[in-house]
Amino acid sequence: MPVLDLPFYSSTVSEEHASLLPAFTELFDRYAQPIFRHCFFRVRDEQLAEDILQETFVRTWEYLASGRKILHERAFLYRTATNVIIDEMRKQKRRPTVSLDEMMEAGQEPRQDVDAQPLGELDRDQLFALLDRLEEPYRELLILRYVDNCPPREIATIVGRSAAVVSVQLNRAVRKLRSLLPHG
Amino acid sequence: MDEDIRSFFARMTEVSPSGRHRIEGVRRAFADERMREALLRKHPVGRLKDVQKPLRHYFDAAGADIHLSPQRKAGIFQRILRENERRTASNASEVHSLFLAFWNVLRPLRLLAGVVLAVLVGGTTLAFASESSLPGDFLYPVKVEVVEPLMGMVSLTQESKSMWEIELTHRRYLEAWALVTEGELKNSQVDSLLSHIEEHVEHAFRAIEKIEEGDGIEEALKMQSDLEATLQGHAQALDVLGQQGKQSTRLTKLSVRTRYLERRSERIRESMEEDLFQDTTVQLQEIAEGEGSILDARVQALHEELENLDGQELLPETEECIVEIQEALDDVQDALENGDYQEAYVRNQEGERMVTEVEVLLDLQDAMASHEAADEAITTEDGEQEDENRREEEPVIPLESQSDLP
Repeated sequence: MPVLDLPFYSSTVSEEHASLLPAFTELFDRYAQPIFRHCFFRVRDEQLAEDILQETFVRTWEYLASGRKILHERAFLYRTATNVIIDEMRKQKRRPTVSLDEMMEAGQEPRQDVDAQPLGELDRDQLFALLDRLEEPYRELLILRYVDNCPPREIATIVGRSAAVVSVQLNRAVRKLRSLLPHG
Repeated sequence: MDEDIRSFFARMTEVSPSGRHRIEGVRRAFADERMREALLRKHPVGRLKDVQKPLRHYFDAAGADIHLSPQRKAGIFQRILRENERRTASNASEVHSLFLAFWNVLRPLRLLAGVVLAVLVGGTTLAFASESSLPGDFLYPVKVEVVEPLMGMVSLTQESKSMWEIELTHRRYLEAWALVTEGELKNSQVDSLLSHIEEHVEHAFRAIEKIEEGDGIEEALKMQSDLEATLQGHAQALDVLGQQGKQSTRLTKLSVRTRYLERRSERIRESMEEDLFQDTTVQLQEIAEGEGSILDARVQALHEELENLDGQELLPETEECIVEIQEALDDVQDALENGDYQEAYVRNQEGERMVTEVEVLLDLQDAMASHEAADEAITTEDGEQEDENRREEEPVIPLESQSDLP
């Protein structure tokens, strides 16, 4: 049985919007995984990333249901996800710190001293520790470039800046991150 | 290449014999560079480019195991569709005309009028009957869509609103327990309960946020701690039910989500505590002492409740909590004596949360005991009926023929 079984889900959609379902299902099928990964890198919480993914697609559905068309699907979804993340952060106001217990619960090892690691090895927590040392928009740009493999032109569409500005900022972000890497 | 370089230096020497010394320096520097390159080629491990992997490598490695399983993906998709329909339905009832706008303004009055009418025509019976309904029952929508919102309308302050939302969260969990002990908890009911619980918790968060803006952080913290304790207690209760093997798969879903909500609540509370401790205008001593006496009173009340259990065996989780409460109470006293009001406050709050947890666990124990008693009563009734049936079926031997028996 396919994971996203259309006949099964169609019962939960009103007749008015049933025609949107095949395209929407395909969109979700194609982008759920990358958007989830993107959100996880941004919020570092699997459950929250799942919630943001859900809200992103709910907003996308609302957009489609209002009769509007999406020209650049990927850019649209990333931009929507970014908006949801911003809303979520505003809602929480305070950025929570991840406790040791929670990290252990999530099956992650506690963060280690980056500089103490052998050259060329870096785990996820250490990478996150390095990213935390960068300010925005550098973090976001690096994630879009290296996690989501978006070319600078597409990143420009997502973040709503010109491609030239994005290229410059991306360059700076790379240099900053490299300077933080052990023996960088 | 080497030839070209050699001829370059030879030509330079010819063109500028006076600058021979300077050119020799350049030649040496050039040779040094070449030697370094040769060394690096020989020992690749020392080369920066070889050792330092491209940035992409680090990101790829970090994101390698981040993925959604097909089941999780399907679950999210289902939730999205449900949420879409829910929002579509609520949008449809939004204002589209002046008449509807007017009607919307009158909506609370309409509800009020509805209540009056319901009282007149005997609707109160329906409202009372719906109170004990469970998800899936015919009257359940009346309870959650009509009766409870009406009851919530009397909550005028943000504090009473947040208390009401916490109460509703508690109610939803009690319904889950009832369904689990009956063995009738279905997946669709888990989803429905979770959706209600999340809604109540969100409403409570919002009300608490408003309390913080209006009445101050102390009041907001109390409510936040209360919400966290309720979630903590129910997460623990779900674990207890799960350990008994009652519908464990469905309970896991409920339990995981409850733990997540609890963690969210905990983070907000911790963050609020930090703000409280940083606020120099707050009289921490006064608060810590005041809260200490509340904990003391709650522990006394709990002890009385435990005495009324008449030696009934407690769940191990409950016993553990009771020990921890006593420790917290002792710590609060010590901290107050030492003038460490921050520690006193924190331990006091922990103690209070554990008292709430014990209260939830005692409720669960009660619910389980009354369900078992009901089961036994049904079994006994069935047994008595069977005996009666058997007696009826037994042939009655007339007295005069009894002598014929061997």
